[in-house]
Amino acid sequence: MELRLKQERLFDEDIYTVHPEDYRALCEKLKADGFDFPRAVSGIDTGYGLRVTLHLTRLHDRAKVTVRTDVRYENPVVASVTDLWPGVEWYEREAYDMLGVRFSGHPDLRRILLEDEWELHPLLKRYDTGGYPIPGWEPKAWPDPDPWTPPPPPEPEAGEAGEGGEAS
Amino acid sequence: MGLLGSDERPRDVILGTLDDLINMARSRSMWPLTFGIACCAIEMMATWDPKIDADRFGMFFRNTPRQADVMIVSGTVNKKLAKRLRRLYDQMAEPKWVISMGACANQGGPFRQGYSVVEGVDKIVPVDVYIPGCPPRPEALLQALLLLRDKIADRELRYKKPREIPADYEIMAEPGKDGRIPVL
Amino acid sequence: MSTMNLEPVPGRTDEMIVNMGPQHPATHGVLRVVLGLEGERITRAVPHIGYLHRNHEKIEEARTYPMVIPYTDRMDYVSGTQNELPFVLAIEDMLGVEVPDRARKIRTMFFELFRLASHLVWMGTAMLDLGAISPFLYTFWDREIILGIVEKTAGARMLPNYYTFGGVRRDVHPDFFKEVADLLDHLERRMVDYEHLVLESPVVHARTIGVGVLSKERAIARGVSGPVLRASGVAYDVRKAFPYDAYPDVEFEIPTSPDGDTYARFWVRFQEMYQSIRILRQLLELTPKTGPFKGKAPARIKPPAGERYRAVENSRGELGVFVISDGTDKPYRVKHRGAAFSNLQIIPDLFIGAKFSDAIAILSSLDPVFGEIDR
Repeated sequence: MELRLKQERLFDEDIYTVHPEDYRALCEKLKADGFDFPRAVSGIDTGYGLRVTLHLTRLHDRAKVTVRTDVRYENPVVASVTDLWPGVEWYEREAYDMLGVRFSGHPDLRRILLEDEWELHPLLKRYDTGGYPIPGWEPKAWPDPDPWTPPPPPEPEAGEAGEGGEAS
Repeated sequence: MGLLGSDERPRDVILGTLDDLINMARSRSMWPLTFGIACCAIEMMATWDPKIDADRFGMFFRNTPRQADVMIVSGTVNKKLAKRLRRLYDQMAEPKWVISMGACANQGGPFRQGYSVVEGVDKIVPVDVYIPGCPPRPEALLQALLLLRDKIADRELRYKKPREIPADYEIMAEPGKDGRIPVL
Repeated sequence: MSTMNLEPVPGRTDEMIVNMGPQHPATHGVLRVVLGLEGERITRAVPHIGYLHRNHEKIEEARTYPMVIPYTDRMDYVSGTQNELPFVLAIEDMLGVEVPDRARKIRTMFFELFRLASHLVWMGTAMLDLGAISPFLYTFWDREIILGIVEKTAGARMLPNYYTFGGVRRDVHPDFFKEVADLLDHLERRMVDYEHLVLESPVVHARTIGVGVLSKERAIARGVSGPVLRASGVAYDVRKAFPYDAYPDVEFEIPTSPDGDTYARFWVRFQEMYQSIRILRQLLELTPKTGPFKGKAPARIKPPAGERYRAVENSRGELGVFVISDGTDKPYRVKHRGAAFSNLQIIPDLFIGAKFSDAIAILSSLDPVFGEIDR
């Protein structure tokens, strides 16, 4: 199966930017690759949507990867990976609490830090520090091409092998 | 011939009101509630360590609010905790006193204006002594405890009840429903 | 189990629902756990956190980079400067700032001093939870000595705001090296007493050996790190795995234990204190007495747009920070990976099946600090 993803290398980490529908498939592949230690899940408000970033480590050779996926504000649903790494359970709850990302398949998705009856997702950029809506805040346009689209193959004179590793 | 009629009294008799006696007893056995919240709680523990040793003033931690006289609010109070803090205060028996320890408990500290932080514990419970600092040193907490001791024993303040603060649950609600006007 | 509070099971009368916290003397802060009890045995456990949520991550987006450092201090407030380091390292990576060798060594010395201070606080409070008061009096006395050394140099006892981009804020006090040497001599004598008081105490043995066993596989899958992970037999330490500051220059070992029980977690923390003393002894020899303490960092910190995850091994485990910069002088997003946050997730795994009094011992062996968990 062809995964829609973009791969890059930043400092000592491999970074995969993946289509949300393929996020779960990539995570299963990484789990099979031996990435056993979940470091964190962070939710980010990118201004045009929500981003979920999963940080993983492979303990025996200390390889680090970061998986990130972008979803739109209207439908912020990402597949949960709690069954692959039980350690991300609270981090996914925190991302739901702070940003409203809904993790489908999460066993216990409810607020963790704020009270259950709150409606606010405070880390969204449309709120100021006090949790009040910023007047005149507008979301940015969705980037074109889509963030997970691999860059086009470089020109022949660049002599560089395509870094968009199309994993299959 | 009664003692009260004469100017000369035996030296081992002290005259005063019963209130003075009770207040003296209260001020010499203040029992704080074990309720550490944040960074200041570590300095609160350090106040009871052998270096400062607040035990020597007759102050011992009690683990239940029913037995405690003094509540030391040692850290940031957020809206989720505020309801519980108020409830603990209501559970404490009269007379009771509150020490607000550190900048967070005084007015929100560095986290002021955040969406989840109550800007000062005195919006929830009446405070007797405020301690500045982030976090205050153990010596500062000891000074606050001694100030509170003087305050309890002071004749002037004897009959003054603390300012009544209603259990205002609006202030503990989420932004937009807490009656605060946003700073824009 | 997806209910907010535990509901009694219909038709079951032998289970009692008990609420523990947020005001409880043994929860090390404001943890609340709702427990289902069958006699003394715990059948269900639901932890509730967030009673110290102080909008760290939101308020740091509204602060400039140097102003974020004091906020990070207040996360794991027992271990002071250790919290500043991941953020400082991440920004140094993004800026490409060179840190002088002496500054790296001073940073590492403070890092290990705070590890000793944190483990001393742990020892005192864990023994208070088990019912022993005297270790608390000894450990806090020793902690005061460490904090005195820190205060002389950094200007504050607990939350010094001492590290900065490219080094440390000011040079160490002239007495620093001598005082650290004296402290180490003192602590080495004291550690003998502590072993008698804690590790060799029959009461501690009875209450901790075989209690709350965490298997190696479960620990890794749950993302547990620090002494809790190493007590389950995994030799993962960020200081060795991803070395930072002066750790490549010093020799030390990663103590691990195969048992995974509460006693193993106690034992690993003790061995870590010995290793900290060993690291500090080497650094006393290695650190030049005079020299630069700060590299060249730009006056206005503006990292280029990008992101960086950096982690350090603090007293509780892997403390990470994930910084996203958009090229301005304020971070776009700062995500903290709290070691104690991950470690606390195993509460249901360890509590269910244990006795209620064992739960207190297990919790104290996890050593949670709520500034870091709730952020």
